[in-house]
Amino acid sequence: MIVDVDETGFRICLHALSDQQIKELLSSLRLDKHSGT
Amino acid sequence: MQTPEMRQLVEQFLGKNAFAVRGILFDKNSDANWKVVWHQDISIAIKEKIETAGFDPWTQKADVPHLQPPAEILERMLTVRMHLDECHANNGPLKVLLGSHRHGKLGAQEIAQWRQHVTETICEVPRGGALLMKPLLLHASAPAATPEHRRVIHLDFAVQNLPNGLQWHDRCFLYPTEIDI
Repeated sequence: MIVDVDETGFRICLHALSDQQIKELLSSLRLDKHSGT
Repeated sequence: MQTPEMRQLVEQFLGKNAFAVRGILFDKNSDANWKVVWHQDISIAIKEKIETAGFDPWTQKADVPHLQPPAEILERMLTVRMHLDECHANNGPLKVLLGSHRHGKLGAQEIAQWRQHVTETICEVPRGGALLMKPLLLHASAPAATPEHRRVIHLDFAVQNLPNGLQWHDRCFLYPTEIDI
């Protein structure tokens, strides 16, 4: 946690997902063909 | 969605009754590489079109009705971007203008003024990291300069119902049932 959301509008959390959780997500997700940020 | 990690991220801002209203997976790579100009996220997805004062204009995206709600609705929302790959300065990271979310919906001239007076912050996020962001924060991104994946799950959360029979297109709660608080 490095900055405050209400004050600056954003915050970066460095450890929100484990490697195992990322692997499980990638095996279950479908990629929509939308563009965005 | 209903994981301890997601609850911890969202609850502190929106409380235990928050729910996800939209989820999008973005994969920026050498075959799908794009630039997004400075903007705020001011559209929400709705189940059914019901004309409501202050909730317009309406658009249609991928067969889903969208509208622009008043700023008060957007101010009580939170975006969580879960990064499935490392996002660094060369693969199209999000850029933000700090503090720009506190001034409601901004017109083109106001956005230009923010760009002129505020230095952009580049949001580098490690694999497994999360970026929490207010939808009204001005943000943009450049095309990736390196041919690698930059996969992000973009989740929008809200905590309030909409007026006049309008319904969020999706409502996925952090907990199985609403909690009395």
